[in-house]
Amino acid sequence: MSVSARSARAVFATVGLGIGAYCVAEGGAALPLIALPVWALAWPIVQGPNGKPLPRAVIFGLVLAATAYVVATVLRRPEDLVASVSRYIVWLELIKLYDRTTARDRGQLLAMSVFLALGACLTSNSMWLGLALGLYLPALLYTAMLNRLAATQQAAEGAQAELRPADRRRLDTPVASGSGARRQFGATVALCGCVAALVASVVFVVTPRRLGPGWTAGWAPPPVGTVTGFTDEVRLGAEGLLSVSETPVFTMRVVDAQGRDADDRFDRILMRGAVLEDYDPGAARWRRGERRPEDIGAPSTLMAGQVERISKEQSSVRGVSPRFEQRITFRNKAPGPMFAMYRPVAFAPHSFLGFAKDRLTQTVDLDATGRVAYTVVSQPDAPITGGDALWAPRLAPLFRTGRIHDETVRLLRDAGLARDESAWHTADDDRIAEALERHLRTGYEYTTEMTAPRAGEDPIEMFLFDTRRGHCEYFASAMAAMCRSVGMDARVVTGYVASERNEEGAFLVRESHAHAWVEASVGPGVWRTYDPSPPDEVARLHAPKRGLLAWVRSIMERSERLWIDTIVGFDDETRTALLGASDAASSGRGRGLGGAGLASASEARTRIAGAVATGAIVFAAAFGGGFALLALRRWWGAWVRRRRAARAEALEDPTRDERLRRASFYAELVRAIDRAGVKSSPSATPLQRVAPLAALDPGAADAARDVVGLYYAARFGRRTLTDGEVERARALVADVRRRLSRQALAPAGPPRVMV
Amino acid sequence: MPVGYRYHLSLNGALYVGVTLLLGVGAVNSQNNLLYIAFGLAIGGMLVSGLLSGAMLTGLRAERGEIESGAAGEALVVRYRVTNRNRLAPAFALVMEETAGGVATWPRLMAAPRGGAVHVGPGQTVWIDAPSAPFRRGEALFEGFRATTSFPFGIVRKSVRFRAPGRALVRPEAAPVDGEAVRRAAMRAERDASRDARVGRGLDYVGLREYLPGDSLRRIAWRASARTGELVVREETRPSAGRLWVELELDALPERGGGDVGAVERANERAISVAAGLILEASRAGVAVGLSVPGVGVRREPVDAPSGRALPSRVGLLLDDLARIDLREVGRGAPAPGVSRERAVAVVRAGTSDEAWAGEGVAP
Repeated sequence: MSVSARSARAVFATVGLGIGAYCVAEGGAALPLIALPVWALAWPIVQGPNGKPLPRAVIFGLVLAATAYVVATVLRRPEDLVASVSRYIVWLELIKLYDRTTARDRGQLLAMSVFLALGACLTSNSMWLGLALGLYLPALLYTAMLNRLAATQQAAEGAQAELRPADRRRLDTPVASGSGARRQFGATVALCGCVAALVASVVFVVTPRRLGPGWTAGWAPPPVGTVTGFTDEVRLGAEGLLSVSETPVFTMRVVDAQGRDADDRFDRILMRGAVLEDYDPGAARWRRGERRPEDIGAPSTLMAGQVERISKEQSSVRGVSPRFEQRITFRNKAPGPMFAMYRPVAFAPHSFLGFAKDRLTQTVDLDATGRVAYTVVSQPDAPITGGDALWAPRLAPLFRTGRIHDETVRLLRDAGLARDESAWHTADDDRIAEALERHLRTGYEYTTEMTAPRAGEDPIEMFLFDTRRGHCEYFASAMAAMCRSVGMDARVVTGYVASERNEEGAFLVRESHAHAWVEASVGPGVWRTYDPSPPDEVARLHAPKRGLLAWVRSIMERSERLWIDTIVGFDDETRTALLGASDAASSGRGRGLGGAGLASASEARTRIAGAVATGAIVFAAAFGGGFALLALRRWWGAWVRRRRAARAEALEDPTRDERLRRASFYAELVRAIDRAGVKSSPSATPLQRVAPLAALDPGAADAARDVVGLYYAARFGRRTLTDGEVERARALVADVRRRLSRQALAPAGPPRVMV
Repeated sequence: MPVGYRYHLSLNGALYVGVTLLLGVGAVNSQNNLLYIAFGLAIGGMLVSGLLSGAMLTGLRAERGEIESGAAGEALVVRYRVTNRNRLAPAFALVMEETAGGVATWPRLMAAPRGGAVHVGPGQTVWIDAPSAPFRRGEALFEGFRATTSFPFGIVRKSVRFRAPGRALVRPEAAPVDGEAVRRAAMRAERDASRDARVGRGLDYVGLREYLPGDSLRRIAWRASARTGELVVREETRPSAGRLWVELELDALPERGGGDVGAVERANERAISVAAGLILEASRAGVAVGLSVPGVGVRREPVDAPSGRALPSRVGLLLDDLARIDLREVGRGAPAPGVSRERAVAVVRAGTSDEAWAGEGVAP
């Protein structure tokens, strides 16, 4: 196969890999379902035995159509510029695959493919994209270099093409090439790949981060890893099965005030995210309450290790209230709430980030993406006193009349409780909340299969009086509504339940662990947590899965964590610690957090060294895997060619097998020669094999040559040997064997080597 | 030996650098680590490109083989012998091309001869043929050549220049003429003219002449050669197919402002092509051909070739004479004597010649 033909195949494959990588980045099914078949058909249609490119007019028309489409898309949705342009490149590539393909055209295809890969990087940073790029990059390297060779060949052939036909025939000078070109080319590609990867690693590590993020508005890291299981609003009334995703969201370690692991002290931790105070009955939606600017403060930023107070630290009657630090590492965070155990006191990010704090609900919104890590200090058992001045105003009344109100009053009466509905707080508020929690836990069924309410029916009423089954949002909404119906402040809280442990013993929180519960005000400024969902059902739903699939998932999760730790989450802090320039950030992170710190410098170093080592392994594995695939492809191609040739020969010559079977005496001759110690190359021709016999025994050499002559007649002359010829050949072989065995008895000389 | 190395940044390379810078800005701006990796890979690609192409050319040695004379419109092949003296680094995607400038005159006669080698392994030597089709006759002077490569990515093109003066004659393109008519005309002329002894392989000794490549060694007159110090061969009589003089009358170029220089040049070139065609056809017909160009002092007697092998050399001498004609010198030097009209003469006159005239207009 000529260099040009190999280059055409390689470009076709590389373009396909690039499109595949972008499809992985985009994540949808529509693009691959359309683009990949179109890509696959391009080869037989254009490069097949009777293939030819589409007419230029058709190509131009398609390009114009694609251009018009992308312009319209960009004008309609300018925020999707990257996706629109990337898709445009996909279409252009596909159209160009159906066009003529000179070396220059192939170069243009490769350039477009590179831009598409960049589009993929801007679209996603998932591990799957990393794997796809791991396959794509070696292929791109190989193809780009091969295309240079093809371009050289075409240039030389182009110079000949300008000559007169007679001169071309007379010259017939192929493009020069030395021996061992393929092997040396492969080695050069591998070397270039290694050097480029090494340089890329150095640049990746050395380049400072945070030099100037945000120069160009709206150009942010890809918004993948959005915390899909969690939402900062609750919409009720949807129909269907609640889908759950096992994608990990963050890991968390809990340490006590002395810096000791405290993971074992908690079986289940509710991690607050958003606090929803307002209910819109028309839309059946819980959302965050309206805030005055002085309650939330202006958005601000924090450097690594800087501490931000969320609420006042409280002391217990026995002294210092238990305080726990939660070291939380998001795998791939989108901007949104900070998650923390109630009641958060302070937090410190591990790297630069922006935040906005709601002092009334003691929640924080983080403006950070990717691998976000922070430490939160909480006092879960702190008795909250009236000394905390940040009391929220009384919440708006809800369901003060109607079935929910009546049902709540009835329930309280049955429990021997009653509440002054005009009072903000009463002494029985805690008992009332507990009674409602207990009622919901025991009297209602937990399910992920939802039915829609009837027209005009409130979903909470449907849950309470009609279906009596629902998921955590219904339970939390019902309890909050019942509390609010008798004048007691209650709000829905959304977040995660941390109960699963990873292999290191830390909490592993998945998207499926998203949960909703209630915070009720049981005193001035005192909010207490209640979870009305049936705990056994929730625990069953959140229990870690077992079996082969779970094991595979675990492997994938570890790989993804590795990917995020090494690539996606590599930040300025990691870089600084890795280069050993300064430990300031590491050592300063614990200031104001009780001295426990987030992680020691040595711990950070160890983690980073491990991450870098694994990153190097990932790089090497990705490139090695890519090259291995290319080698496998080459081997496969050679095997297929050999097989086809053998089949073609068998079809063309049906007597071949029989002829060769009758000529099996040649194999006996070879064995006899080998046994005599006459070495020869496996690629030696039969006559070359028997030639050294002349030095041993001329008679044996003559006989062997006669045998070879008969073998040639059968093998290449396609003549079926007669029985007499076969007998004669076997006799000659026996004669050769006899003569050589006599020679073998003679004193051994130096080894005879025939190459 | 190489006389200079040079890097050339192509448009593709400039685009590559621009995209790399854009990547860097994008990475810094967005803090997207995948963009940082892409940025690093782009820089790695640049480094690899520069280093690899430099390493490939450092150990490269090349020399140009002898350039065979060609004719306008026909292939002229320049051959290069390229050796990679590197012990480890193979050379890929080499393009060989002649350098213009200096004393080089080949650009006036032909497009750049260009050839390529896909691969030259360490310690290996390959021959690279670089063909070109000259579009006019003349003497092509070569100054040197260079080997370039843009391997591995086409970002940077590096070249190494070799100084190698050389020359090649580009003979005129032979205009088609009626060969049979030429032969008949020459025979008729022979009948009418006084018969000269025709040299050839016969019995009667005629004389000596200079040795021409292709002459049989048996015909060398060794004693006479020893006397004169140059190889000479015996000439004998043989039956002749005819002798023909081709007389080429060229017009002098007009002085500046005195006429259409281009038209005169074209007419002269056309006449030279017709003369070349006459010479070739007459030679193929077995006619001994002589050439006279009075305007530039060229006169070469018709010589019966002693054997078929010497014929191309003899014809080649005549065509080389035509190739060397410098139209600016027409009429400025001492004119050569014209050919007697007693002999068979085909007069090719610039501006009036055409194929029909050339074929039938043989003057006695």
